[in-house]
Amino acid sequence: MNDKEFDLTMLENADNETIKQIAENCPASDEEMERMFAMSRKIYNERTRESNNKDNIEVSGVEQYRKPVWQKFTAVAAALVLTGGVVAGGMYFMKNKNNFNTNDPVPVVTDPATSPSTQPASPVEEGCPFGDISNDKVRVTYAAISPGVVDVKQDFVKQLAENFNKGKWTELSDAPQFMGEYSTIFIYNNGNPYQVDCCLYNTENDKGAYIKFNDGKDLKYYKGDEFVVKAVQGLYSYDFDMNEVIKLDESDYDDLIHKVWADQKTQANTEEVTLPDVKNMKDELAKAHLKDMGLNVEIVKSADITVNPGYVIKSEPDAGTKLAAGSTVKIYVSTDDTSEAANTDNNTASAVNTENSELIAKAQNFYEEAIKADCKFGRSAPQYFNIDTMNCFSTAEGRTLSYVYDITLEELRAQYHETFSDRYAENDATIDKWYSVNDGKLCWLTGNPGVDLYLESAKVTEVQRQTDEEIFFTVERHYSDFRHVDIDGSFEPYTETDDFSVVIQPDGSWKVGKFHNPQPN
Amino acid sequence: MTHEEYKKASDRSKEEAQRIVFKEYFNYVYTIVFSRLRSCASREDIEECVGDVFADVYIHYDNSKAVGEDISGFIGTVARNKAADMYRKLTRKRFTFVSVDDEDVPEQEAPENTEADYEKKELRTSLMNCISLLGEPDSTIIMQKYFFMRSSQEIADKVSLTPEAVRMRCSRALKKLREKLTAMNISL
Repeated sequence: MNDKEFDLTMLENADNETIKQIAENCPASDEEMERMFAMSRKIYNERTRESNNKDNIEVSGVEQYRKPVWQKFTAVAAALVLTGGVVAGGMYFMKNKNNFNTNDPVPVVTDPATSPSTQPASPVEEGCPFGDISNDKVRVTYAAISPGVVDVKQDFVKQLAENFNKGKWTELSDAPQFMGEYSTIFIYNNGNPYQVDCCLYNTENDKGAYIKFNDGKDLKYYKGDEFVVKAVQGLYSYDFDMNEVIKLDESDYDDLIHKVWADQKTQANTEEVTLPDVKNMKDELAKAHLKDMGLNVEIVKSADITVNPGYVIKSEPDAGTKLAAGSTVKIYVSTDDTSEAANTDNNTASAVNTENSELIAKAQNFYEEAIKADCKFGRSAPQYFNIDTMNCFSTAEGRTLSYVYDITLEELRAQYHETFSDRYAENDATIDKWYSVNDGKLCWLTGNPGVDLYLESAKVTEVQRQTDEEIFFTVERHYSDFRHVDIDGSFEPYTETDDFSVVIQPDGSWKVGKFHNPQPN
Repeated sequence: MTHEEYKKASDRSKEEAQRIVFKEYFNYVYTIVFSRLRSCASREDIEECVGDVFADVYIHYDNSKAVGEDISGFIGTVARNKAADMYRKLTRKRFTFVSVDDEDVPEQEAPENTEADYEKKELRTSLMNCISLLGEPDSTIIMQKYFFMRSSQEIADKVSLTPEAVRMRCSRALKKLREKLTAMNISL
């Protein structure tokens, strides 16, 4: 059960003693109490038929309930003082990518709405009101990883931007009532960052998406159409690895909008370069060429009878990869047997070790791809398939489902098995768990299984054995309080191992064999 | 508040007297009503029900029925009855309407005379103890989020924290609470 599923239903309809205990936490605000008092007076008057009483009141004209000294704005200011600054500080709007004032204090962030009661202040606008972010750096945070953030991959940013740009936006004159959880994205904007809060709402009369950001003068609220909804839905289900989380400190709340991008300062003026293909180049030439491009080079000697000694076998990362200047590139250089002048066993052992480490490195990449692929069909499916989560429904068994369009169950399964071998029956578990046919329609199990806050890493550590058709590896999952969530400090780090295998296809490619997804899926 | 105190206040201003009663019993009434209706009613319905309860309480005071007696028992009964009526209305089940003016109105507290109810009460007590052991503001945050279903913003206003800090504290407090519940073999 994740945080969102936790509920205190057990306390419903409790005995008097428990009720009195719960009542100590009664959350109604002064405004709500005043409203209910006015309601009680109105009903009382109607029942007693008082018509010319001096206390006869309309709801709107009720005498103000005596507010305590603690006023709402004062409390917000107090919150600012007590917490050392507001998380939401420095939300910036950049329609034309201009500089704007970063000194304005920003009110506390509000949460997604359930009942919009505001009327639009202005006509519908086309085009994203905070600008086109398709080429920008974006980071996202959620409650589960806060105050940590995750880099949003560029292709996903483009998807987000496409939907934001296509969407129709209506500015709201009043802040809508935000309730529940929401996503926050941080836009780098060439060193003038800003923050946008996004949420979905669904009421009896309306559903859509709300966006909130600061345009440098005021906090602005917008309502977005189905394109904006799609963008926000994608954000909700954005898939990432826990070791991608950029950890921030609670003190970073003081100036989160800038602290989020603190690591970018050193790269502010760095240009990106595309790694050229240096295969079969003489090692010294390749090294000089890469250095000229501003890259650092590490040479790894490797046995490869297909490449002349002293020439490059391959680079890591692969040619075509975009890198920031100053990044390190490994080039694998074929060994010169005569110049090495080591004994044959050492050479062989060294070659085997190198081969194994290359195999493990390849398996690690493949393992990470397997995790992503498994999540793609499971928890992150709305990001990749046409799933209508806005109209999810509950079944008699208590499951919440959403309809899946444009694909059949068989097609989904076939796609899944493009990555996952059908050699292992358990490789059908993800599809079987997340998809079902309800009244003849394909459905997806709606919900977020949460994240494991203690999973620090999952690494392929060794080759166990190899056959003609399959290679078996060991994966070590390491758990620790690296996110500092354990207040008691009693969490003891530990490691568990899994078996992971790849099934070698006739064409030499790999499919996932034995696999356990370390993330909840 | 006794009837005598109410009468004295009412002589000055009926609204003033009603406001005193409202303020004194609001938390109790709201919690009873919310507890009954949280699974099926909107906030507006719940607020209407609370208003309805207090309207009856004011009338009860007017009718001098509260002389010398502890009004809280009566208020609790009215609140439970009203909440039950609204629950039935919202869930569209047919039951006999019980008027709160009926002197024979039965106590509508959760029955406590069966073994199952006793076990439930024990569980609730244990759960409340575990929550209170979290300390402030975590226990408030947990109750307001997971029982009263309030947003992080609303909770933040109450406990003088930012919504982000509320979410973080909530996540940590929930983890601690789960550990305590597991240790006590309680599952929700």
